[in-house]
Amino acid sequence: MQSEEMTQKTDSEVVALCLRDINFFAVVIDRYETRLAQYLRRKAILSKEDVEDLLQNIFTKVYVNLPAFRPELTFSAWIYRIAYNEVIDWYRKAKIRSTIHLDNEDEGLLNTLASDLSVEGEVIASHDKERLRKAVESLPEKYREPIELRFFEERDYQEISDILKIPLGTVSTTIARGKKQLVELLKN
Amino acid sequence: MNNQFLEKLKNKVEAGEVKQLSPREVFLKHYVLWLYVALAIIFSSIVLGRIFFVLDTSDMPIWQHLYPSFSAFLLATFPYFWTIMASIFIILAADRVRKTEFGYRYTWKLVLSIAISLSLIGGFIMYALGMGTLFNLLEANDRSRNDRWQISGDGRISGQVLTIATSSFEIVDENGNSWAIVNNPLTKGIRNVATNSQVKIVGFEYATSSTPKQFVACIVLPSDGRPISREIKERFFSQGENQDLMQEPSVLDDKDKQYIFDRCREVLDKGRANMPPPCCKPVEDRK
Repeated sequence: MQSEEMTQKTDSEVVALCLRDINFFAVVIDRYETRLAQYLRRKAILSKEDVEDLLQNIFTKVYVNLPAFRPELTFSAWIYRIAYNEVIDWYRKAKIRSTIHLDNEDEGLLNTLASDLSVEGEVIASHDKERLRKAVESLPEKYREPIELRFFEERDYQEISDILKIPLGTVSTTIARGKKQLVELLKN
Repeated sequence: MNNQFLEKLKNKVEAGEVKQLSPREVFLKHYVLWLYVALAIIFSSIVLGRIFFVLDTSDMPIWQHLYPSFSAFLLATFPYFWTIMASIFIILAADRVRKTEFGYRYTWKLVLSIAISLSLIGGFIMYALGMGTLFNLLEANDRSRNDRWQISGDGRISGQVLTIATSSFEIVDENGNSWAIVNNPLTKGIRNVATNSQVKIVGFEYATSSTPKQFVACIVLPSDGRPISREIKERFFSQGENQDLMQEPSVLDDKDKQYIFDRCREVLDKGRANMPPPCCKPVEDRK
């Protein structure tokens, strides 16, 4: 468990400590293990072992590339970028397309997305949440990835830009178009 | 689970299977792409310097004396190969920028605009330094363009200036023939004449018994490009080298001078006739 003192430290401070002593890397693992595991489970139907293998690869790559981390990025964007690339590699090796799988744990986050869509004039009834879930899962990848990062990983636009390596303007345009497409899918 | 990940990682580090990036690897990771960008911009600048040179010596000021229309001139003289090469290097530079650490934050349009601007500035500098002539030996175009200028009977001649005298100068053409070139009050571009400079001349043959190889210049153009350094030198440091040339040809009598004047006017009018309306009617219609 993290000590009180370590909990107070920023990601950048923890990175600096990790570069001196590998044991501080436990703080990074502790902070991001659960979030990244949830992210991986949303990306594909994975067994517990697959999730552990992917997490091990991600944390190994994070450790190896730690000296190259630039503070112009947020650490969370940087680690998510590594996780995203790792998942893309996994899709290639498994020869399957990228997907999203939302389960009951994502109910609250689906509500956030539903409220956001409602703001644009289309009210989504509570029984439509299942349709919304299916609609999100059927979105084309170019819209689904930014929407997933925005509403289910709760990343801000700059972080999404840094994770997916696309311009900020493209992120907001893509999310707007993705939401519009979701509304269309729900209407139909 | 926390300990499991860390323990496996520590085992791999101790076994030498996993190693953090060294400072050198970090440096290369961050900056090697910028090296490619710099090289691509340098190459595109060299190519654009060549394009500026080709355009500068492309006979554009007198296309109407050589081609039936401007589009024919453009089709015949446009530097297709160099333009494709420049485009490849510029796109390569923009692509490498977008692959750098934070290059993705900028749109293709912005990055490409900056790459084009830098290449144009670099190309201008290369051209001003005289780098445009670097590829002369490689270009067959130069030879065919020079051939077009060895038809004295058609009113075109080119060569190197040997000497300058009062109201005339001597050149040696590509075939080794010496020509006495006479100017007159209508001659355009006389400032382009300097000892050892390469020139192209539009005019007409005017042989006399004493000077069988005599040519009257109506338009004089530089043949070897106009590097900015040479322009500056001629404008500010040339101490009236061409002052003698500005004099009216004293060796010819008044009848000859009038004839030369009228013929040059015809030559210049013929050029104007090829240009699109509305201003000029062909010389034949005026008679």
